[in-house]
Amino acid sequence: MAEYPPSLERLLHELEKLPGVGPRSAQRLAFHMLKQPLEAAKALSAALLDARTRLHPCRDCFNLTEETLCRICAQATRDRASLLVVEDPSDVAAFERTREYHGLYHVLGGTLSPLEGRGPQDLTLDALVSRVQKDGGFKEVIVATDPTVEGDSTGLYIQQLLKGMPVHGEPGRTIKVSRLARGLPSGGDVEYADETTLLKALEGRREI
Amino acid sequence: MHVRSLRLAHFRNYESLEVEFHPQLNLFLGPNAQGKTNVLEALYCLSTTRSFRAASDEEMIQFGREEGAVEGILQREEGEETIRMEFRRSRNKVLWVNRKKQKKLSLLLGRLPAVVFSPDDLFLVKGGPALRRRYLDMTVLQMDQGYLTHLQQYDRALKQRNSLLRQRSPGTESQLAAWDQPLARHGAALMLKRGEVAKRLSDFAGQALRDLTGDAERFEVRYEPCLPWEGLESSVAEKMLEALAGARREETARGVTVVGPHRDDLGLWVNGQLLRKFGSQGQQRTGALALKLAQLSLLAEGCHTAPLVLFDDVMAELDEKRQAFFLNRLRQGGQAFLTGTSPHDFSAASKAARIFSVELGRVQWVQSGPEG
Repeated sequence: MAEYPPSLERLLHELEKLPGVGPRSAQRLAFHMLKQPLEAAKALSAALLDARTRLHPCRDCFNLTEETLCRICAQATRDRASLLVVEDPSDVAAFERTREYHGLYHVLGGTLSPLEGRGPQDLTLDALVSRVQKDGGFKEVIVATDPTVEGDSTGLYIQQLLKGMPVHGEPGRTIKVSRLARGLPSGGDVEYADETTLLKALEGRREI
Repeated sequence: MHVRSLRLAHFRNYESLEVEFHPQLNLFLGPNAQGKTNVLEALYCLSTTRSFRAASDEEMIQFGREEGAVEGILQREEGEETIRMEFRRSRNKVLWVNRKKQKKLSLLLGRLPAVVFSPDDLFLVKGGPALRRRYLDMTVLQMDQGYLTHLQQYDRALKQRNSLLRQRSPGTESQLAAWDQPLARHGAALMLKRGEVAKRLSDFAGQALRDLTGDAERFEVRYEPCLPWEGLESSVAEKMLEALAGARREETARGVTVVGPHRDDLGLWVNGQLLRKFGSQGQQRTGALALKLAQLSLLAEGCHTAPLVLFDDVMAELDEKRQAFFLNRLRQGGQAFLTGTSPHDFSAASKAARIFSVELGRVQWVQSGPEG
């Protein structure tokens, strides 16, 4: 079996465990790294170790951070009436790139998926509920999970959890739970859109 | 539109094959287990991306090979089109149209509609509801691509929900509701579409049975879902949510979803009697033929082109009168591919066809066919 020296086999074995990396990509990555100077390999392994040891979930929103609170939660200028619920830290980065959303985030850590054995206790849902209850101040929770069956169901579950919760300081008003719109990507072509996307875009049409 | 030629590589018992077809009638003759049906199966792959008989795509890859491919050149009114399906062991299959790799396999649905007639069709009448649901789904899918999304999302929600029900852990109650919604939404869409298509199939099947039997037997195809489905999609979804709520105790006890279109059936009735229970073997056979003829008529209408007719070993079962009827029907349009063991099974057809002999994975012209 071992076509390569043991240390190289071990490197390939570790690389293949990464998502989206098969035997071929693993070989390409490994041979590329081996061609580079030793410093490059040291830098890569140091960066990996450093990131892994320093980063942990933010106390409030579960985004990745090196501090107690992530940069967004620590920022005084954020709009603390709006909470955007996403699956992963990379989704936070995506919304930040828009520069249009100024509220806070909550990272779930995935979606509900009984098939993969993921229930509410495996997500940060308890924290979400207590955050909305105690933190006060939130007027709207925007669910931005992926537009999949699992993402939608997780959204519905969150809606059930938060439904009817009062907005602090405004008697009689309850928290609004909303879901991202679905539709055509901008810069896209109507004729090339698939039926589902077109249908969703039609359902969610707006008056001009 | 017709399939001009077919190329196979490492497909079933074919190391490689290249064959040119007659635009109307093609006949494959040879002993059993030589590869006749494999040619029909390959054509069906070009129509639907999948086999009509294999449980998994991998069964179609030649033994000992990692990949197999089917490529067809289609002659359309607007020009030539090449469709290529590649099947790979433990990896996703790939579709190419005109040498361009396609992201969505569903693109193929409805482009080259096809109907298979096979001796197994009898199970449509005698077998369980799953076969009839599949018949219905394959009919709708070729006409309505949006249906596929609903089917896939429904299936996904159903699997998730069943998995949750099986866990039987406390607290599942509140999670169930979150899966009820997508189940009801996609379920309602499926039911409405199935009901609508079943009605059309019933009309066509009734006509087909009258044509086949020459008398006034009344054949009805009834859509039989587990809950009322007529009305607006939103109200059907509402009804399904109610039904799910009503079945909650049973579902939790049994650990499985008991309400929804995954339990639908098609009722086949002749003169007011259930064909499966009260029909003779002959009546059941005729009923199965009528169902397939109805599919053929409906697809011709819904896809705006005559479907391919894949006739697997069925001619021999028909008497001369019915052979003549089918031949006449085939002449009305659509390219047909027929298999059989002996030229005698095709008395009427053999003159009008291009004939191939099939032996041990080799296909050879025996007769070129008219204007061929």
